[in-house]
Amino acid sequence: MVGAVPPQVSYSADDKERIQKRTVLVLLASQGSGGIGLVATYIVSALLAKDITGSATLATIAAACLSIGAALVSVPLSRTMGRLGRRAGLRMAYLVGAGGAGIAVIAAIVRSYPLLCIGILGAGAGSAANLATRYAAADLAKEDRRARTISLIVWATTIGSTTGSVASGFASNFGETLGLPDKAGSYLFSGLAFLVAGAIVEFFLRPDPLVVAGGIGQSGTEDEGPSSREAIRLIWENPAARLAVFAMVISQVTMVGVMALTPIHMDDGGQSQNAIGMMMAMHIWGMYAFSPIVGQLTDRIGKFPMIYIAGGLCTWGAYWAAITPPAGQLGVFMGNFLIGLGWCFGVIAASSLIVSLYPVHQRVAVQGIGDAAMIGSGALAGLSSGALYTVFDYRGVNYANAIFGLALILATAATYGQTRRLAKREQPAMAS
Amino acid sequence: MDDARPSLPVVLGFVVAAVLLVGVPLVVARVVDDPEADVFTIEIPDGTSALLAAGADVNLFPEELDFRLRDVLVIVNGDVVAHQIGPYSVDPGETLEKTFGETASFIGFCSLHSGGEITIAVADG
Repeated sequence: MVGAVPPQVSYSADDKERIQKRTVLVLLASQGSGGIGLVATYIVSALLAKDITGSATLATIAAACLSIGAALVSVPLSRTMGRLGRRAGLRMAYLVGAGGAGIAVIAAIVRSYPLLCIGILGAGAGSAANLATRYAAADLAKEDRRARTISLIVWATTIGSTTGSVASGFASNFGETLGLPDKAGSYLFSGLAFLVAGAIVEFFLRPDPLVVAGGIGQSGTEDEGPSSREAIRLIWENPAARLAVFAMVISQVTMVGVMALTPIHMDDGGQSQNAIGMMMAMHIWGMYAFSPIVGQLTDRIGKFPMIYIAGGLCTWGAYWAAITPPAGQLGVFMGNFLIGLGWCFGVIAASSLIVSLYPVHQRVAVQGIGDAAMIGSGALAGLSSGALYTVFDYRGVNYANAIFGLALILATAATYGQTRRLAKREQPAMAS
Repeated sequence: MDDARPSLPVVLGFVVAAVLLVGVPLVVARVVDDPEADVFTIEIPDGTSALLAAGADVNLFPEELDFRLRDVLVIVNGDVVAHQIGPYSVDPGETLEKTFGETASFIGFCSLHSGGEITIAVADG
């Protein structure tokens, strides 16, 4: 039966290692395909919305629907994974993503903005699946290799994103030869990529890593794990978990905010489309290209120092960008690169930290809440960036981003001290 | 067993999903007519500037132009001097083609109307 909880099977350490290697390979493949789907949707969303409505504001809202959809799906996705396993959850999210992309194709044909937003919201489920994949890869990872494993999945997104960017244009042109309107082909391609990602998960993510790790199916019953409210309480009661979620939120908010505003800032300074494209490339490079190194560093020097560095990179990058005039290049190039790199440090270290804090049956629900907070705050940052830019201008928004980075540094220092004190207090108690 | 192969209904489900994903849009695209963009052409004949200088009203097009998104404005200047229609300036012997991609409404200078003004509105739809 589809989605049934499998009976408990015991796995040896060798079995688990073998399964983990296979799991990572399968998830790298699904992540690559999912990344293609995500970028193919992202690239055309704002353009098509502007083509239909003629409004830049409505185009921004349509683009933000991708993040809003991902945030909305995060919690149901984690509930499904907690109940039925990673495979069932990821499959469901990719199928919803494919369906959303299909609706967006129809919206492009009938030129309906509301239908386009519904489609993009649905495609956001594919984005949520892509994000949840890093946790699926970490289920069976050994403690000293967890961040490295997560970073590999983050890195696979780069391959998918690069391929998706190139293929989106070809797909749009191919769609037109099939009789579809401009840009609809890109959505069709996106839907197929999500479907392929779902099929890879469905056919090859066997056995389910969460089942092997003991996260579900312990008693052969459908144990749902903690509810969303309990998951929020679990995070709230644990200072290190609070820090992990805070780090993910700060990394995402600063990354989305600066990515949305820098092109406008550079355009105001009369900079060319090539220069703006180069800036975006450096930002994305910072986010993904070094992720395997960041993962290795996290396993080696620890999660707290890496989150601390993430705060430092965010502050440095935002400050550098803030003091650069619209016609300047070095500051916005390097500022955006550093903020992207800060995102990479923050997300990999925080994801690894949150996995290490909870027993396996509680992890999935906590991860879902963490992702919903991260993506939701990013969507809010994307939606509000235009208004904030009008009120505070680029400099003001980036000073705020720098303050967010400083807040992360302070929170990391405070949490590190708090967790050390708690550990010291617990040691004598355990000894007695 | 959890590592068993997916069942036939699941395999068929993926196949059906793929067929629907590709097939439904292609069918809808054939059923729904793509709204045709209107092309509005303004041809400025040779001698227009001389007529305007003599105080004549050339009356080539209305003082208010209404467009929908994706409509196209084509200005063919066959005259010996440059002409300005709102934000669009066309040199002698040149042709300008503008596809409207954004809703907008503006009032600007027009060298072809005695009032010296033109209103161009681009609406959603």
